[in-house]
Amino acid sequence: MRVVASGAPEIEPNVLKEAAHWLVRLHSGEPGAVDDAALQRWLDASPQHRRAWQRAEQLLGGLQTVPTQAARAALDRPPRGPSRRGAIARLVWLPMLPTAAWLGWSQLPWREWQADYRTATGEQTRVTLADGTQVLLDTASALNVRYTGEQRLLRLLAGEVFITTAPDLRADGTPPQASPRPFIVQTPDGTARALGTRFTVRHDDAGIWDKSRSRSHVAVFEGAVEIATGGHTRRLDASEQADFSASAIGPVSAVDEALEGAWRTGMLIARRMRLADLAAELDRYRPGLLRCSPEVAELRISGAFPLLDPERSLRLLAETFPVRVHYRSRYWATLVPA
Amino acid sequence: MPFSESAPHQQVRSLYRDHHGWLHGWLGRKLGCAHRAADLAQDTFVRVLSSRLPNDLREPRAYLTTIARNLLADHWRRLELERAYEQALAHLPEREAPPPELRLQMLETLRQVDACLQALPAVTRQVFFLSQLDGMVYADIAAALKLSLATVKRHMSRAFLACLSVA
Repeated sequence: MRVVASGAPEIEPNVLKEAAHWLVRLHSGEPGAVDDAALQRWLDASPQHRRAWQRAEQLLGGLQTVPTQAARAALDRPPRGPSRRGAIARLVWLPMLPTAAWLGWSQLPWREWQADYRTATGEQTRVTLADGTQVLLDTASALNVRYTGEQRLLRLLAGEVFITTAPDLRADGTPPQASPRPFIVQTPDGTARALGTRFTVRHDDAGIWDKSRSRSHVAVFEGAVEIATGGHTRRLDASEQADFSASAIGPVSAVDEALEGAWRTGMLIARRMRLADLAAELDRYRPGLLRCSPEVAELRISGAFPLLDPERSLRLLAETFPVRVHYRSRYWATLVPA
Repeated sequence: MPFSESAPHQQVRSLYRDHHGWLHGWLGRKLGCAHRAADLAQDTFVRVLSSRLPNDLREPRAYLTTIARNLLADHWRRLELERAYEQALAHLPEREAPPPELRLQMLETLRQVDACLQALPAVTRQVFFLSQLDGMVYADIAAALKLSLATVKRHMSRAFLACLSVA
């Protein structure tokens, strides 16, 4: 039996409206949408403001902790009556979204839950595929594996993977065919075909629906990789790396082995890296928001930062550099001048 | 819950005396469970107590079942949510599954969010889910759903206000 508690003091409707206004800006994804100082002034202006913010923090923050697919299954149900179809069917119901074709392929974000291999934020995992290929998944990554008789195909849906290809042994251990099957990694931007190698592929899905902002990146450590996209191909040899989008392949540059792929050891090696860029990297490994105030964004940081323990990295930053970590809530931290 | 013997409360007491048993039976048939029916029957009268009874209640049973139907809808909604949640958790790979001590807390959060969003139109809910569950930025949501950026912001504003108002 539910009993309504009337102890909590009410919050005025216009305070709720103001809080909603701040929330809309905070979650927009537009950089600079929220002036931190102005928000702080609003929070300080009245205990009602703080209470409203706490309500939001508790509810929305709590929602962030629920595994995405479980939250969607629970909340995104057809409005009327119990349905006979299971939760899995509902996850793909979204009639308004456009369908997409491959090479130009964009997967809808929540399809990552169907990925064969996934890592959560701050997690890394190592996988061995049927032919002996080793794949290391970085934080917040999702990968599909489609080995067929003709090719070994991986689809990188999100994040970054480090791949060490194996000679094409079959699952039953019998020796490979005369010519090994091609090994291909697809991202929404194009493909990277391995020519016996160790390499990383990264996909930044900053613009899933705005193709012009979607980018992938390949860095080769051993062997060679051929990138194919939008009618262009380009071979990268060992110690070479390049970005590519659905329409173009960027300039080839040299791989700095200490930096590139250092995440494989769980460390980020910074060499005069902008604090804003470092914060963006740590943010990928840390649940919640990590932002950097403009006053300190251009600070150059050098050092080794443990990616799998982002809080420790933040402490290291505060100890070594003239910055301080300001926690607005459990989920929202900002780097500010000390 | 202490209350004095004022006229409205006398009215509720006789309502209870005359119809509680019947309501319990009615709910039992709807729910297929006498125990749950007893809970909901009690909840119905709690609601009656906190609402203003019309002076001349012509159809007491119709009045009670109207309240009870709302409670039933809430009940089924909660059950559905819980089932969908449990089912989705069961499909998660081992290393992603949340530990038991957190599951209940998460379910409670989902119930609260569900209660906040339930009266919102489907599009508003979808915009909210794309933002809060899938982490999409508003520009991408606008492109995905073929809405203007301003419209996306309006939907988010409505959804956030709903969350703040009920929590």
